[in-house]
Amino acid sequence: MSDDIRPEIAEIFEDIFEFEGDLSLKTTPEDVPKWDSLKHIALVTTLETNFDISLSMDEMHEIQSVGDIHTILERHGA
Amino acid sequence: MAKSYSGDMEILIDTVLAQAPACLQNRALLQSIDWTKVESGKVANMLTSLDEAKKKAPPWLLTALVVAGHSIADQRLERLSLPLKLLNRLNSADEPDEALKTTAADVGARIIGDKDTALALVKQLKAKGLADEALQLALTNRETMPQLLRPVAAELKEHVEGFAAAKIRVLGTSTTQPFVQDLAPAFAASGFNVSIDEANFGEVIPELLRPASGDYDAYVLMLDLEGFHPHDGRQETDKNLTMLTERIDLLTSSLASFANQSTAPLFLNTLPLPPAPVVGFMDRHHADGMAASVALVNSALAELASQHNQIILIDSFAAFSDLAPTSWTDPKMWYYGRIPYSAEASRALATSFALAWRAEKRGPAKVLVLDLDNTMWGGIFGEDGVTGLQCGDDFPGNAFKAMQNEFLRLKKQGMILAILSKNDPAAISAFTDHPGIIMKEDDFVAHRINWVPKPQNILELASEINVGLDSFIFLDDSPHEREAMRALAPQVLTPELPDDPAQRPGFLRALAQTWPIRLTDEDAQRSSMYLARRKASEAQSSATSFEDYLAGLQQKLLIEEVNATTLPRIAQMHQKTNQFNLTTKRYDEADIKEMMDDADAMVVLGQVSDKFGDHGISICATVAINGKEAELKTLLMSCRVIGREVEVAFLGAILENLAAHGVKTLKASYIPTEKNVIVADFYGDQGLEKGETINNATLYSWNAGNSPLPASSFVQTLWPAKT
Repeated sequence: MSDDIRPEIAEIFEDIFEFEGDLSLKTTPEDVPKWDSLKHIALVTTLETNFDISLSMDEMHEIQSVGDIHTILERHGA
Repeated sequence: MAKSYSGDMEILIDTVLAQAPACLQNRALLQSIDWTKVESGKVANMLTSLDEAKKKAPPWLLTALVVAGHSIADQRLERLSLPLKLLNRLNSADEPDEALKTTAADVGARIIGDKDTALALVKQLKAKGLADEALQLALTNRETMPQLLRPVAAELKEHVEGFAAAKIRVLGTSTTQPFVQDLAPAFAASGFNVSIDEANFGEVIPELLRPASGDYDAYVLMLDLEGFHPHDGRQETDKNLTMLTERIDLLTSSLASFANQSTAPLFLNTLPLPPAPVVGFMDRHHADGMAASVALVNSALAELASQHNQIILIDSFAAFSDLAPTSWTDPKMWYYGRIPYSAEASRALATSFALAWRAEKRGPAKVLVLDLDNTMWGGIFGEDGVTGLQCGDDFPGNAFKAMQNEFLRLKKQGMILAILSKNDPAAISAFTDHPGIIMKEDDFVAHRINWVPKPQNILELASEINVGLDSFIFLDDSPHEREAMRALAPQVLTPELPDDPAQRPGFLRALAQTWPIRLTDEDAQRSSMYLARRKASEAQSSATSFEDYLAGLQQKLLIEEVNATTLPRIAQMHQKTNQFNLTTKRYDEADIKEMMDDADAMVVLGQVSDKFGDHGISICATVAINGKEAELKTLLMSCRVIGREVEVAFLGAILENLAAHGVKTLKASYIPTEKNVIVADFYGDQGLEKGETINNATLYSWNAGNSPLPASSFVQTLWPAKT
């Protein structure tokens, strides 16, 4: 795992997608077999709960990679 | 500690620490420090420098230090919460002693206010060998902090293996998956190891009329208004009301049919009130009103539940009582995936279903054990005497009298009451001598008024009354007595009785472990609000069969070939459909466009409507034609209309059309995926001839003249522009 990835995010990917491979900012649903539209919901809910933030519909759509998650967390100051 | 600050950062942090007394004013500097990266010696020096500057370390700083894993002198934490004190002691303990274990058992039953503290506690408890206590804490707080379950996931899994198993079928009027995820921890917290099967999306009525086989212990139906009766702004008022009434009738008659044939109970929730009206001030009584619709549905469900022991109603109002009305739904989740309830509401609902299941299996708690001083009455018998005790119609004794009314209510419901008090045995005289105390000595089946430790007393009580400890509830105003009980008799439910007597009657009413789930038949006869109405409706109740239901739906299937307008939807269906998808070929817009322009290919789609409304384009297929032979490349359908024979009518219409164009043989195949098992036998069931399996694909063929033509009498099929 590269240093750019927040450990909390790696944990979430392990929990939700059972993904233990290498994460990079460029990791997309293509690279994570279980990242489908249903699990995407769990991802968003978990981000909201764990980081105490509330995402909008657009942001939900905007998350297309691990890098996008970092961008959104930064935007929310989380 | 993982890493320390180094280089320039270390110099910077050291400067802040050295200036800690001054920095307290500007707390942002101290708050920005990652205390896990600061050595304990530096923390100790900082605290000493605060002492020397005669400044008290503020709670937020102490909390941050303890959460980061530092241990601090106990006396500094005097004003802080017990969970934080426990964490602090765990931070320095190599091996927890008995006292620490006792505190851990106590804290495990508490709702923790601060998330960081709670998470650190769970991790530390586990690290110090107190995994059971860690799990308990995570389960207690799972509704507000589901993330606590992560560090103890393995423990949870192991723990529930010893629990009674419960096999459950979940149905819902909208998407149920996130809710299903919340059920397992909720059931675990209630003492059950649950395994769950889900019905197809939105498939409620067919499931009720023909319950899936699988020896389910219970069925859970998650109901939501938008899934059950979608709001349609175009609808005329009278039509809206008619549709709502028809839907209610269909649901209640299907539920009644289910209850008559199933031995397993069905749990379903009432509809919560929408946070905003659609007819303003008239929402409660106007026929278009959301609140009016919700009331209609809920009263029909209540009436049904009063008639059928197998139907158990979960009151969403009670389930969501800790949530703001606007937070039970998360609109983006609704638009994204038809998820009707927010994550927190979903967890609350799951808890309610699990508590109801517990009540169904084990019954409500059987024995309520009560302390006397400051629990039964205000004041202390030994100091204030009988006349000095507070209980009656005046403030503040009226709160204690109200609480006694709650005790008597539970007694009326069949609960056994007992007294457990460290007191002068003469205290029992207060029940006779105090005019404001409404309970009498013989309201209690037993009492222990002595100086023996309470856990020991309660063990004796349990064997005397012959009821297991896990059916006991213990109410005591003293935190020490509660702690002792939790540590030494953990099977007893020892809730955190609020300090404020004014909060207690409401608290006890909300305690779901005391809630009865069903009355005996005679009780029901006497107490049902709907008794009179039931008699009237019994005469006209008619059996509903699945066939009656399909016939009554008045389904129409309008078939046409794809055009530029419908092309995006067809491509989207190919991308998204997982369940009813025979080959799961992910054709995109370009692929479909190519077939659309190809004379030897055909892309057909079907729009489905029924008496409740229009489902839009719900089914489609692509066909490659080569003279007398054709091949069905894809066939897929939206979950919304599964199980209603639409697919049968659609396939029949395509075959009929191809035959009319001289096609003699149609080839089709089923390619299994993880998600399309429901269509594994579809072609076989429709009379297509099964061939060999090549590269995982099972081949089928249909021969004009020889093979039967699939048809459904429940779907009226139209293909106006048939080519």
